[in-house]
Amino acid sequence: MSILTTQNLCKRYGGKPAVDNVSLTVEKGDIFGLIGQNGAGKTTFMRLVTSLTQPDSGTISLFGETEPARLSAARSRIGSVIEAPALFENLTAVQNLEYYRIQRGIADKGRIQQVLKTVSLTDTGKKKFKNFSLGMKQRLGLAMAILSHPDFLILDEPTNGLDPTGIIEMRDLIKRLSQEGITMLVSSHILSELAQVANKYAIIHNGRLLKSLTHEELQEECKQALALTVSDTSRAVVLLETLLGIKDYKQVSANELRIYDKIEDPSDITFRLSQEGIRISEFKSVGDSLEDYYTKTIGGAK
Amino acid sequence: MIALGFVCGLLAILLAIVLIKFLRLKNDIRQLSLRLDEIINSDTNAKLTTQTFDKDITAFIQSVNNLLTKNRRDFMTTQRTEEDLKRAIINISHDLRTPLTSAMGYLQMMKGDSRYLEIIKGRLDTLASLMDNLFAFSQAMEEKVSVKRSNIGNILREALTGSYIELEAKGFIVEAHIPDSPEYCLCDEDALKRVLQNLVKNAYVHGKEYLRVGLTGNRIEIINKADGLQDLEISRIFDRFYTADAARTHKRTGLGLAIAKELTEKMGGQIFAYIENEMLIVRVDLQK
Amino acid sequence: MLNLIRADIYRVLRGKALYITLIVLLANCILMVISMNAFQTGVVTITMPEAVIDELVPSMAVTGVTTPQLIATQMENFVFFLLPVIVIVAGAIFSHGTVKNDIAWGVSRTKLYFSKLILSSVIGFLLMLVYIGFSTVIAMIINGYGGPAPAGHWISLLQIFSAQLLLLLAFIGVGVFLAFVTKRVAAVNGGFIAFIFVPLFILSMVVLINTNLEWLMEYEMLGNIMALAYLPYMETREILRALGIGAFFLVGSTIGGIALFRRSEIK
Repeated sequence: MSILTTQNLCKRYGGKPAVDNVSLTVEKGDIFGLIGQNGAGKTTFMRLVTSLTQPDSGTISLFGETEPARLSAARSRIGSVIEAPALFENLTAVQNLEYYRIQRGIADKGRIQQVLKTVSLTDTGKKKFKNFSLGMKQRLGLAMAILSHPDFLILDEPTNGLDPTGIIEMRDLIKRLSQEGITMLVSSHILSELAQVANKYAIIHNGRLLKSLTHEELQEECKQALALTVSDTSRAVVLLETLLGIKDYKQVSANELRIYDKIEDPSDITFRLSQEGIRISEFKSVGDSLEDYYTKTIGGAK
Repeated sequence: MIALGFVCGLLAILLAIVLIKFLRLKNDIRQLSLRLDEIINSDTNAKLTTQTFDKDITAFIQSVNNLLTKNRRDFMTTQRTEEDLKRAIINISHDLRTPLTSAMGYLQMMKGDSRYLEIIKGRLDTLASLMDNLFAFSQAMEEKVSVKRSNIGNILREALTGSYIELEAKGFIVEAHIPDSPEYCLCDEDALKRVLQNLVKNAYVHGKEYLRVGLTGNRIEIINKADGLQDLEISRIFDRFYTADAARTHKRTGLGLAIAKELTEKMGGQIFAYIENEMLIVRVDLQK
Repeated sequence: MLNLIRADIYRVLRGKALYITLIVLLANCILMVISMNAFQTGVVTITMPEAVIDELVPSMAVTGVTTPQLIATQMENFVFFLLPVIVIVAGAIFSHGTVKNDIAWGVSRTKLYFSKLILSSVIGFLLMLVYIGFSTVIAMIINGYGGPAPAGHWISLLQIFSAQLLLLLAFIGVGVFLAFVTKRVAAVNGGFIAFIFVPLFILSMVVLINTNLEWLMEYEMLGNIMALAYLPYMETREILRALGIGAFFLVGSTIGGIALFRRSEIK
């Protein structure tokens, strides 16, 4: 049973599609990264999932439920922070959490201190929400989201406005929460941030889902390698192993090899191979940084 | 008179308040047991909540929630341990295969007809197939199965056709009782094929003479002659690594059946084995 | 839904706004009683469709017994105090944006609407009791209880206040409607005050132009509240009309508000 499945989800504002035929699935235990520029449709997608907005067409299923009444009940298993965290400006951290504790019928008063400890916000005392820094607001928003022991956490750019230390703390927090069995959907416009925690990715641009891949697949695409186009691949392969001691390579097509090992000195490889009579028609360094991969994927869609 | 009316009115209101409070408490408790059942039967972090915040009910809920939290934590730990173990098994079987292949390679190159060489080759073969079995099993455990309603009659026929030649070669008499009318059950086609292949293979590796395959409704039965198997051994037949064959050296281990069990249960079905009239019956019940 | 209301009670009591409103209300009561006392010979203007009657009230003493009735005639002044209540209870979730937390967690939009409506009504009712009770207490401090009340006095007061309560609830209904549909506090403020004054204003203009449409004035809310202060003197037809208008606005705003809110986008 998947945690979240959307099929052909569409939402238009005016004439422009904000979410254009998006189908994706978040499985239990995933930390699913939704990546896109500002305005790409990440937030709108999350708003559709949390019923803040109604879709124009398409289906949403949460915890396997699609029927409206059961879908509503299923939402109580979700925690979310969408766009800026919204809490009562004139109340303190504890008072804000107490409000939601009562509203959601949580019996244990100690839960409030528990979540504050989890997000490292235990000493705000009498400070009212309106006087919190952006980072503190993010953390309190997260505290409110996990208050009722959710199974699914939806976070919209959780590192927005955080300083580098805050970003690292948030990343750790996400990892810890995942280990407690919480499935997560996290959005960001910075791929490298999510690459540290996510196990699945979806790249979204102009409302459309361009690509969806696993962490392993992403690493494959971004692996640093030497790409060689040779005349005699079978011989080249034997030479790589016996002569150069390279075992980490792949044959990607009839004449193309990708070498992942000992690529600091590509000229050495090419020299030795050509000494043995292998003709090399092309060689280049491949392997994108994450950002380059992202930019290429988006660029390809234009 | 007015005073009496007033007092009566007040009493009536008081009574109403007490009654309402009582009913709400009862309702709260009823909701709690329903909710608790739901939580126990699903994989969730959720805890019990209250509609009344009654002091005593709240205290009770807190205790139950503590229990649920502890339960959840144990569950997560167990899951993680299982994951780690599975990963370890896959890695080990992967890593061991390479030097094994290498050793077998060198062995091939050794000229000589010493008896000992044959024995070494045989042992290495066994080791290799053990490794393969281990790998197959850990993959079966990892595998995600997607069920949909399929005509299992067809799947059964396909699986049998595949094994027919080997069965004939061994001199088996094969009887198949599969109705022509389609029988629909919830299953994963690939998984079911593997289950059937494993069961049939088990029948002709460990049995003799006679194999009968029958399909009734959602029940598949594979029957062959029980070759000296005891009841005691039957109960362990699905255990991993168990084999009833005393000469363990050259027969496969019972992983095939363990894999069949794992896949069957993943499809929501059940698998049994028992002896009746000196026949070994393996039965697979699928969900309709 | 009770938990929603409980949580809101917690929140409202922890803020300052309600207490400020209460204090202003108390101050208002004191001033009102004192000024009524000072101008004992008053002209009470009763606006009714048929005629405008100026009644000279011969030095009506402002005592414990007479004050409630006097307060009833001042009820249109109290309507303004409902606005802060609505903003505090219903407006806050939109001004702070916390409504998205509730909706995302699965709180039914209908239940959310009702919980705010009910709590606003309860607080409004309590404030109304303060308005009446506190003023009476002040009057008693100044002029004493005022002798035995005439027969049926308290019952008639009960009737008057119950009827006026219905109309006050109608105002609350409209206010909550504005909160949930416009989602902006400024719009709630503006809309509410407009609802108080504008009909009267428009209708006055209309009647000036065409006196045949005078009957429309009967349906204006504020006038009806004031009229109800004289419930014992009103015809049944007029009473039912007043109650009917109140019920209409209360039920209409609630149904309309829920219908619009259910389909709207949460910012």
